[in-house]
Amino acid sequence: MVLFSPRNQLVASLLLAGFGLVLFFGNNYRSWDMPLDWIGTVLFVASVWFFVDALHRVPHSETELAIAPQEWQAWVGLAFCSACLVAIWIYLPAFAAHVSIRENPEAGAAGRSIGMLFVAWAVLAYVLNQRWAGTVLSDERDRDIEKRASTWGRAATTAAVICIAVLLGFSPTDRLQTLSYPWIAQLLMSTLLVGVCVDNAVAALLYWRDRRQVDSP
Amino acid sequence: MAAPLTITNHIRRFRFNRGEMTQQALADACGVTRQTIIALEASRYAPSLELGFRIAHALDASLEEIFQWQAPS
Repeated sequence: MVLFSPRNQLVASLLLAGFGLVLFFGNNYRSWDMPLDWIGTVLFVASVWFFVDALHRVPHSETELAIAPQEWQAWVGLAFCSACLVAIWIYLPAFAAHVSIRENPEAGAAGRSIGMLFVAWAVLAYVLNQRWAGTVLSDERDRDIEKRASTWGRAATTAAVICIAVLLGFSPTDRLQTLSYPWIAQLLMSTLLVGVCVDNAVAALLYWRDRRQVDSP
Repeated sequence: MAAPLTITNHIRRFRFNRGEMTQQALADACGVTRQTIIALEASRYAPSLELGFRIAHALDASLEEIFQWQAPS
């Protein structure tokens, strides 16, 4: 049936995955007692599962073939890094209490939600590699792009660390005492994520620029 | 804007001379992705010496026949 063709299934599962992410992020603004983040995560994982199933049955399109496997990974990495950064930013107030995460149920739930995003990222990256199983996934050009992107990623991490050092070094002591250790831990995590995010963004841009120049020499 | 490459090539012409060999077939023969062959043919990427030899071998030609180097003006 056309309605349940692999391509339609692919589109539907992507839409459902997007809806799952909306529920996941919308949890902070809920006005009723429903574990929306949990429902969103389950919906997202289930959608990814159907996405995998459809992905194996859909033939490679021309558009898909024009994009290198590592470029797909860079775009997916950029999307998930951005999502993780947004999640850390949204959940930051949950880590403000001066208790360990183990003793703070709100922070624990936030941590699990952010952790689920990382798991979903790892699953999707694995699925994408499976899509190209048996073919060359990366070569010297990919390594060249990766090297250039890593340089930018390192620079971004260094800049973020310097920003934190300046923030901690020049802030009034009485104000610093209001920052909890879990809050600072999240700040450090976001520093790492900024580096990875820039790394993926630069890689995706370099691939995109190369493709654009090939298409219109 | 990126500087133009000083290495040009005739990969496309040699591919067609070898029974219209596809980009994917050449990529598989050289152990690279099809996108790298596309970038090479558009002179958007300068290959390593080893990849240059692998391409020449796959196209049954010498390195000088496939690749040319132009001194920057």
